[in-house]
Amino acid sequence: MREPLFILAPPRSYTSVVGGILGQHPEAYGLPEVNLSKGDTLGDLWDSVPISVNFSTSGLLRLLAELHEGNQSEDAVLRARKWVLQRPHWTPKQVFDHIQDCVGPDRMLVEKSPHNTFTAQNLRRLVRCFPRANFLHLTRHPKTHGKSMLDLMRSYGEDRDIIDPERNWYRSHKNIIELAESLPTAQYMQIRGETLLRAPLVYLPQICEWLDIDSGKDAIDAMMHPETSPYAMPGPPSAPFGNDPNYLLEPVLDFDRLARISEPELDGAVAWKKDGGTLARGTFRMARRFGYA
Amino acid sequence: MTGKTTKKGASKAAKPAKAAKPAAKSGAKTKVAKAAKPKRAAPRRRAAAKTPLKIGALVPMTLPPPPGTFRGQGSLAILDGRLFIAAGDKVVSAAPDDRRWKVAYEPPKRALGDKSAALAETLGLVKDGPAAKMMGVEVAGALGFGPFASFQGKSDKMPALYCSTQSIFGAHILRSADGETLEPVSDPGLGQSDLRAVAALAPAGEWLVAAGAPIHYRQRHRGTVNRSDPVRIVASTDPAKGGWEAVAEPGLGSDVTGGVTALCAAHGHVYAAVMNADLGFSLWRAEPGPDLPWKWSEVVDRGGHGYSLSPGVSAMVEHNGTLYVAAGISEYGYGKDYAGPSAAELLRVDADGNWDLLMGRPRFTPGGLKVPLSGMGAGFGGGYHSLIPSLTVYDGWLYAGTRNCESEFIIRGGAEDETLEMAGGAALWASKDGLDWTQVMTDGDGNPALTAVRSLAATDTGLFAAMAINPQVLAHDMGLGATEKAADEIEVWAATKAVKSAKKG
Repeated sequence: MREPLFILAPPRSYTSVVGGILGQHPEAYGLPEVNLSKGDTLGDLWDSVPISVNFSTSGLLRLLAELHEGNQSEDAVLRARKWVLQRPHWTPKQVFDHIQDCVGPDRMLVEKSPHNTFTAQNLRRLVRCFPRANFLHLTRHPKTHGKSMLDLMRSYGEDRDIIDPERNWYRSHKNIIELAESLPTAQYMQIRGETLLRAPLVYLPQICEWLDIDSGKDAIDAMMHPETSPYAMPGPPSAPFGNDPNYLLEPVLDFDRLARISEPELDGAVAWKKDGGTLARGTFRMARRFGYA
Repeated sequence: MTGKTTKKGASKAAKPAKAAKPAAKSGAKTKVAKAAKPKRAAPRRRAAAKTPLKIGALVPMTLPPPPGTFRGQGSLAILDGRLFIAAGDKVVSAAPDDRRWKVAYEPPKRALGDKSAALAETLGLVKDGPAAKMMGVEVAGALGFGPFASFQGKSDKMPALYCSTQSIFGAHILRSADGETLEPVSDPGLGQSDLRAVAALAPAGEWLVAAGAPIHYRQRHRGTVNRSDPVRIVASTDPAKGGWEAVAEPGLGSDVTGGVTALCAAHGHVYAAVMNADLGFSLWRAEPGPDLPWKWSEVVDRGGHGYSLSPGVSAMVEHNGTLYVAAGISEYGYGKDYAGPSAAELLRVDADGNWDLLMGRPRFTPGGLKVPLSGMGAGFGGGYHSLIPSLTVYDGWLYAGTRNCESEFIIRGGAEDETLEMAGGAALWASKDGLDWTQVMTDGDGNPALTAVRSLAATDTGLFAAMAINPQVLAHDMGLGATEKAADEIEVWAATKAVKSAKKG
């Protein structure tokens, strides 16, 4: 059985795009956001999510519907929900194993739930489940990440003053770095999302080489079409999400536009701080180690 | 006890190498037999030894520790069988069988003028008042010394030993004419305005090349975080008489800034490593020639894509046509101006300017996936080996000495706890090709206070090493409890045939 690949990054860090790309490798199976690291059992995960919010559960329900019934209809998703509610004692490992059984042993699961990085405990759960898994640490510039977070929150009507996107960026990456220090060298790699998306033909073969999967033309071509994933579109009414909402609406990648992704300078004012405030020193230093200038 | 040998050729980066068991604590100092005074001649090329030094072969010499303070210093060189070591504000020398060190060079004290007083105040060298009140006060003529280089210039009848000073009055180049003492042979600042420190010195063909550094480059390999510091490289074909000329345009013909931390000649080029704490070091090279300035081109950028975790190069050496480059963050592997903590890495550069990662963190780069070809992660697989301060070639083998900060981390975490269990200690590794490595010394030879192999010097008679001993760690390890923080002491160790014979006996 292949070891899974976990893409680790805070939200709004190109995880949906990159997860979609890597998940379309012929030897891989890209998962929507299943958030299985949020608890020690499936029941813990379900209890942690407000019933009114289906953002965190959509991915798992769509995945189970697709794997169990070959479609993501509302009825299939309802049956998937029932399947979950009947197994509150299942551990994340049991659920992952079930997914792997459905997908087949030769395909590498590609998982990218940003919730994984919210706490060190979540990350440790993943490692406990899969001590030999590979972890791709994906980064985005703290300034554009912060702006993207604020834009998303605003679109949901949240007050921008209560959000500190920089703190979330720092905390998630700190958790990932600390995890990386405990991993064998070969199991962890870091890449800037901007770098990867600007030149996918340069970096995708390298990622394949690292993961020991086919890096030939056909495999790379397949990855350039994440829109062919069954999860690259909005789901049914009771499970509409599972990936970044914008990505679900426009999953076809415009590589000409991606090639022009720019990175602002770390110096200078940031949008979410009043009076021209700049990035905190810790954020600054961490961004430097990722290669942001 | 044998060293741990690693396997090469991992298609993926392998798991960190398991460290070999520590050797027993070094016992009584072993006497190094008196070596016959060698003739001054170019070193003969010897056939490579079949095996590197064994664990335990490197032992403390009978020489007492050299006097002086060693905050980041301890450069070691050998000329005519005589040892020279940079010891704080002076250079001392001794023959292997001497009982004490002699001063080889001690700069005279000088009175501060208006400019030097202001600089002294900026650097915190004078504590008695503002610069205006310090005019005329006498201070040390040198704050420290750069690395040594053996070189034969136009006026040198045989290879001579050169060294540089770091001084607020302008850097000097020193030369040993008699094999025992050193004398200044250059104008202050080597003819360059405001050149007050030389951080790197290396022969390259007919040239002796020196790289200027900011004056606050007081600790070897520390470099600077001042992004506006200009890159200054000068060279001379006759350093005994001066003749220093700028061989690099400002910014190396580009817009690069920062201190040069290492110079090395390899495959017809001279390589210069430029420190950049923000973006990672860059490595440049030029072909030395009569047309000045030389044309420099970038070989490695952005710390080999290790970014701010590889801000500076601590050592370089050429071996069998390959340039070996050690990179890392000075001191404890992190600092207020750096990212980190982080362990040291080792790269190699071939004649075409292509580079590979030999030991360190795997990464994606514009030139392809770089995995550590030795199969070892950063710090030879040990996260506390924050730096490789010394690289040399001896008997056909490449030797790499580390700086290990584990014991200092332990103290920082609980300096008042007299029951602290000490661990750590520097390591020395050997390899013929940079791929397969064998441990020659591990865990400070059983002494966690031996925190760094500061400098290595190889001669036909043996391999010599300047070992940094941290007195604070030593006190803890000996059960003496907390002590005041003090500068390192230096012990000189050696591995010679005579030593081996003495041990067998």
